[in-house]
Amino acid sequence: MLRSIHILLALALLAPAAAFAQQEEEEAPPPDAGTEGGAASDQAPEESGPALELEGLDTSSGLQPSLPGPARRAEVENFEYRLDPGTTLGERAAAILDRTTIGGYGEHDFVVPEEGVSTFRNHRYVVFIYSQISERISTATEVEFEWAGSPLKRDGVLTFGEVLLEFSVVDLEIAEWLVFRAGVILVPVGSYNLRHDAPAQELPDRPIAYTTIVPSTWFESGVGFLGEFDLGAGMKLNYELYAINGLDARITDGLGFRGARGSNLEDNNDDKAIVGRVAFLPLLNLELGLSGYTGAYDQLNNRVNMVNGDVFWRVGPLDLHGEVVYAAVDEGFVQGFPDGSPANTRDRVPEGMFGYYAQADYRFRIEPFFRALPDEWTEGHFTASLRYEEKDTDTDFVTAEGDAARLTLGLNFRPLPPYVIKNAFYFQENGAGGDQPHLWDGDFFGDSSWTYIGSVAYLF
Amino acid sequence: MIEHPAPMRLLALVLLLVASIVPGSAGAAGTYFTTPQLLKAFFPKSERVTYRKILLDPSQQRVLEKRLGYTPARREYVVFVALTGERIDGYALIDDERGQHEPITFAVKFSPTGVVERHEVMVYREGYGDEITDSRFRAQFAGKTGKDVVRAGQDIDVVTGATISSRSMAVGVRRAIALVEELVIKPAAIAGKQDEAAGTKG
Repeated sequence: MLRSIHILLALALLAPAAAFAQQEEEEAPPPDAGTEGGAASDQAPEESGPALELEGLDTSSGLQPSLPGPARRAEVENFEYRLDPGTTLGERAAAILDRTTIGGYGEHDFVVPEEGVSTFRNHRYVVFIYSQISERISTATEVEFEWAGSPLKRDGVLTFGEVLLEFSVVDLEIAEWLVFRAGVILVPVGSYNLRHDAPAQELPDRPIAYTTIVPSTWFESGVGFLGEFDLGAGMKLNYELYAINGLDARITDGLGFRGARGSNLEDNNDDKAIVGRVAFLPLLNLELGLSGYTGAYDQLNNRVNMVNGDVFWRVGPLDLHGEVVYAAVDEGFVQGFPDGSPANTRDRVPEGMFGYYAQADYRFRIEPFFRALPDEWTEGHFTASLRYEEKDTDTDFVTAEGDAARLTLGLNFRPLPPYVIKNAFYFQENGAGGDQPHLWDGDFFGDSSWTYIGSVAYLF
Repeated sequence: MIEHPAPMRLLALVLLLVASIVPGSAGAAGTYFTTPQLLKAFFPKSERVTYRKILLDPSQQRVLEKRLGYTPARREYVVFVALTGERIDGYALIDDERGQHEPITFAVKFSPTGVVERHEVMVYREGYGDEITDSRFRAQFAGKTGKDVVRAGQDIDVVTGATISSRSMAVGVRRAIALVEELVIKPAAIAGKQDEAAGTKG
């Protein structure tokens, strides 16, 4: 059975070649460049229309910039130049930089818990590298240094820190609706995991169900397809569908699937998990997503099945978004790792998990304030946020670690889109009392502990 | 031996078979228009398109700074003018605005009175966020004038998943409106009144 997957993957690798071979003979006609609202093709339109009197225009105005894509075909053909042993390192580096974008983001927090010690946290620094290898082949990678990388001092002891590839893919575009992707993939269960970048989020902490049941950042080695369909009447549908190593048996109450994220080195069984998401965009400002995951977590074919729904609705200055996730886990134990591995705890795995969040973000401006700021900040805004969320990482039991309800209030200042100063104050009640915590049950605020998080997030 | 779900195998096989026979279509983020292509697309019925280079003088810089809240990055702008005989059919302005990491080259077509008629992304240089090339997003700018706010999240809806690029385009188009109004429309109106006055005296 595993062999059949290998055969399918081999077919996947051969499929594009056939597509391109056919395309040589049958180039799709370009959309009409003169039609209002349509992105033009890369082909020059017919020599009709107005006479262009553009003599004397230079390129210094940025009107004819160095272009990616088709206009760079000649440069792409020079790709071999980079591989020529006769070129110097400097020449090769220049050729790489010419087609490669380097950017990234960072996040630095200040945390004040109700009980315990306040602390600064260098939460994450992520370097993003994107490169257009050719017109239809590109690669993208995120390298993350969490808690400033390694070594990490925890409880007074130096230990290994985290420097990892959160995302590292190579895409081969067969058609707009069919892109073949391979590498370390962001697992498309829900929207948060796909859009977890700190500068894009309005609250500093990730939703509690989306660090545990959907263990953001959830990344796995695998292959698959993604693409987008234009349904007409302004409606779109996009999808992602992958085969990945998938979750292993380290499934626990409290952490949920966080410890079970698959290895990028080895799978713990022959089963390859299948995961996908379909998103329907009936309007520009409305997205409805449905995701599913299925895969064996141990060597006895006990499975995790997960379903997630997400919605994002933007109404002028108000964003309304939320997600809900349910996971059904076959009865089993934390085992199946090589003999002697401390991962074989033989603990029972939870058989059900449930979580959700609902969030509202309202953007507003105080005109006199922004007018008084330096020039480049006058387009900024404030954002007020409210989020309510719950997680239950074992639906059979109520525990302090596994059950929580949280209410978060946030206020952000964003002088520019890529820079944001966040303030968040949350109340969290857990299941220590033996009752499932809810905002509307009992004395939520009396039974909660509060935490303040200040955070600076930036994109570069 | 683990049995994989048959429907999944079938789905994968169908996908691969379809992939192997479909002709590809160019849809990568990148170049959508060169300048000549854009001008022909903007003004297909005009006789000719020429251009004016306009160097901002200090008073124009002050006016623009007051309108926009910041000083435009360039000292010199090129405004394209479409003509049929002596009649002005419209204007176009090409400019850059920084997106997430890279500049986005965009163009705005204006009516002879300075109303936005069309917005196009000419070059998108990043691998992600090119949803702003979606016609649903770009169509929002049509009809905008200097009286409109043209601000993402107010009168311009932001594309889900392309927040920063959406905001960048709103900033860029707002600047383009101000530039065309202050550098072309208003000076032309003043010149017209002066000609009218001179004709009356004559």
